[in-house]
Amino acid sequence: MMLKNSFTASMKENSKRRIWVFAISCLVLFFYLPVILALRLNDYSQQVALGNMKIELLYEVFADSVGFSLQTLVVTVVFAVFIGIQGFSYLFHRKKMDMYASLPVSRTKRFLVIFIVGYLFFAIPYGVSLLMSYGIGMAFGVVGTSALCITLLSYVFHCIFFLAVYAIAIIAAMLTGNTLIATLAAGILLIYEIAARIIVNGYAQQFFDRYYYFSQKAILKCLVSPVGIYYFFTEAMTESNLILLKTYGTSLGSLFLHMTILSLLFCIIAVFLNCIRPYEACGRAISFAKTKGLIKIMIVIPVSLGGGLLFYSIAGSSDGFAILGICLGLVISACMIQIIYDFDFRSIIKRKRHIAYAGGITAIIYIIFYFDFLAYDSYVPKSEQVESAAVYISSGMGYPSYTDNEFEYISPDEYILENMYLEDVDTICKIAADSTKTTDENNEPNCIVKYRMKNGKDIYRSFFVADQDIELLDGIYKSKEYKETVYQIYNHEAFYDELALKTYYSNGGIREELTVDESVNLVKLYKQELMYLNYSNIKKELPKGYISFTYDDGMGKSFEWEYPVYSFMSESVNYLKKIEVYHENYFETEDIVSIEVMNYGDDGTYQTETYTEPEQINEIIKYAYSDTISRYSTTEDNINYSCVLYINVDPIKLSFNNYYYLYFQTDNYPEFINTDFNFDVEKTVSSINGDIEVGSVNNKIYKN
Amino acid sequence: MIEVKNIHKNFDDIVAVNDVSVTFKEGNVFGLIGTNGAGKSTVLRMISGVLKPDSGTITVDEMKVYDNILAKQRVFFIPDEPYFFSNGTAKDMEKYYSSIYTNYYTDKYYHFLKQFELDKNRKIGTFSKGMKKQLAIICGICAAPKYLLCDETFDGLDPVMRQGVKSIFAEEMEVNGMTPVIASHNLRELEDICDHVGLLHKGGVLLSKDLEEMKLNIQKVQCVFSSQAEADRILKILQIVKNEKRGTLHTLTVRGSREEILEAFNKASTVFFELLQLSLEEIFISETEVVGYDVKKLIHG
Repeated sequence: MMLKNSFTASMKENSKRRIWVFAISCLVLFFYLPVILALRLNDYSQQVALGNMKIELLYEVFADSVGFSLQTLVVTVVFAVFIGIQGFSYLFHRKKMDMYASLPVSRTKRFLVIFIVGYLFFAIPYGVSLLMSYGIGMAFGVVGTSALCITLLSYVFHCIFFLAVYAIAIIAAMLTGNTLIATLAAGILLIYEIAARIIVNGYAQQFFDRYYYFSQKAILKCLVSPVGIYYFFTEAMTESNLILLKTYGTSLGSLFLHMTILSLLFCIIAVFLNCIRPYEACGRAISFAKTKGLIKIMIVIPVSLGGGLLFYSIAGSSDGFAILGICLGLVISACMIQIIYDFDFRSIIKRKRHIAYAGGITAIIYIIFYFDFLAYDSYVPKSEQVESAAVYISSGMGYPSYTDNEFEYISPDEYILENMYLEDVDTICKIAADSTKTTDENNEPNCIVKYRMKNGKDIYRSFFVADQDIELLDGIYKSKEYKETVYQIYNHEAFYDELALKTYYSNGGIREELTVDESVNLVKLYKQELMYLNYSNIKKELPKGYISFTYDDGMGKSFEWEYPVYSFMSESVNYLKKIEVYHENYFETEDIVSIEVMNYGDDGTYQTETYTEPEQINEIIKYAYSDTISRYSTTEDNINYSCVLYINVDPIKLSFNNYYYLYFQTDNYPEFINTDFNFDVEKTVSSINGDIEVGSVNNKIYKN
Repeated sequence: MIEVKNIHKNFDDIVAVNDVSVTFKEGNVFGLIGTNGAGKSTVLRMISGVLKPDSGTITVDEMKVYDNILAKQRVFFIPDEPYFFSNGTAKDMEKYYSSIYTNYYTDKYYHFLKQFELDKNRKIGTFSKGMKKQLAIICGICAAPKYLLCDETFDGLDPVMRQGVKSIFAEEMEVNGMTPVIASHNLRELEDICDHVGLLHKGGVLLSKDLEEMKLNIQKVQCVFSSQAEADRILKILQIVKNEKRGTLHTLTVRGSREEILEAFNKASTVFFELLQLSLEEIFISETEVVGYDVKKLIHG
């Protein structure tokens, strides 16, 4: 007897028997890519023709369809798992195994034939669908290098991503002996690292006072989960999140390489498992009997920890409920896995020692977090080990906005921690060390620090600055590195494009536009005075107003910045007065018909008073702050947010016919308000039977 | 020659095969007999390379069979429930096997299909159990293996088909030197085809003997002696394995050749004497009772 050596003949034979899989792949990808793209482009092109949308939007629609998205991730994962497990489903059936395993075909050859055919079942229809999509894009006028690049990049990356998930699905098939369990195993393998990271992050958040993380995206920066890497890659593909890559010392190229290496690694593991998998494993839950216990424990531990975390957070940080959650997660998951292992409900109480092992490890992990045995909170690096540092202090900043040169929004913490390089690490380490000695959580401000270590690592901590270190903090505030990072007015290119930049000054109520010359002069003065701004200054008082810079180059790039103007910035204030844009009050008293002061109590009740006398109105306005100003307060306690002032303006005199609301500073009220509301004695709030009154008040507030 | 030496196979806590040693010689038809769960299928699956023994060795023409393509080329395994592609036809199966075995007997395949009246274009899923067995045998024979391992293959075949298959086996053995190994729980099924028989029980080999040798060396006699004294005299001379007496009629199972028995009875004074052929089942019952087993229970359960 002789064997045919033709590998392609075997592939042809295999593909013939799995042709239905190929048909499903073609059909789904055809509808998912070219058909939906054509429908969307047709819709958007009509809007463009009507002038409702810019033509550039068509490219975005194209890139969104053929590029990277969560939908494409889901489609690719579903196909990879489906094709992977279907291809190797013969491993789960004794009849099939009797035939295939007795044939004179090597395991490796059979594996490679099925593997390659399955891979091509995705790669070919996907490639064709992308080509068709590109053709459709061209038909709708979406042409150019960018469109071609995104199509090619998408094809290559998705093929690599598919390979990684496909190999994982095959690993799952090799590790199990049943289609359903293989599918479950593939799911577990795909999300295990993500789940573990989320749980660890959750525990760190709950139990470490000084824990800091950027965002969910940062948590998903996985080592071995292709789904996590894909998600991170997709997020990072947008310009706004390129900083995310910088922050984690990586790049799109690195992620690409990472995914490629992972894919190859998973393929090697799959080949290896194929070589050692016993044929009698078909029908069993787990192929390798010796791994049963380990797999069970590896699944039970995160489920138990997750259960504990869930109960802990739902029950308001209750340790008792956390332990209950852990126990429930432990017992339920262990019992379920044992039932699956034996395909027998009566096996529920078997292998109790697994529960004991998993419970022990879970308890150790919980205790490590609970008592901070890792000394996470007390850790402060030695200053000589730190290369540089970045500090983000949100209090007193209002709602700052940051952008890169592409004018995409970047969150303040991401921007500052990435771009600030403070050399005075001694001071930062001193502040951090002092903060570990105080247990007073009412200290202000909260500060997030990134230590760039000399060994290349980045370490993050979030903590409250001890009162005695405010002066040290002021020193950091005044440093050039701090100011030039926190205030983009010093270095962003938009501030040099005077024609595209519009400048306004507002006191929170009245907004005035400045001319180009006025803007240039103001910026010059403001930048000088801003250099002297420190935390102690802004803690003492709220700004008198703020300067808004609105950039729009008419080509789609636009952004807006706001910078506060304090009374001690005398030159800037004087200049604003000189050009007659500075106003003390938000409104002229004669423009106000009435002011309704409403003070909400902690128990849901409230007291309301309406003032119509011009003297009273004038007095209230002097003490009041608008929301746009009060957000510059260093602490929320500075502003009494439970007392709202609803300003009823004269619609004839002012251009807007609406209620406007303001706030008082805490412990700083007009005398008659103090008396009327008993602020100086005690916060007493009259109880009013809520439903009818609240309804009437709500009507008042939202009537317009 | 297939040599199985001291193989063991456990499935979790269940001992499937325990210290089995058996040799399948070329040119013989080997019958592997045993009750359900005796380990017949497991032994065949190990010989065909589907399963790996936990210990012991299996060699096919001195080559280890597990994960060895060269050894597997010489063996074709027909399981008790053969697998065919879903929605596949006999033609599809031929194409598949042809893609694996270069010298697949395609013409012979279609000839056999015609002979067994199996439609090459009909979906196998619509075949009866017997038709599927026939097709499996045809697939196996046309792969031209040196050793054809059949697991309960004759179950479900009607007597005519069984006879047809047997004649094909005989032809293949003669023309191509094929060696069939047939596992069955039914002794009667193997009686007229096997040259050598092995009895498996509880994972171990209870007996492995040449069928002709066994048949030649044991006889069944029914007789009525002229007197009790004559009966006692003759019974002392013969190697009696079993003696059942109903009235004056003795039914004896006697060890020895036909000639030896006839000679002994020619000298005896009998009212009635008849020398009968023992069925395979009876031989087994006798032989295994000698070694202390109640084989009726083993065979009939």
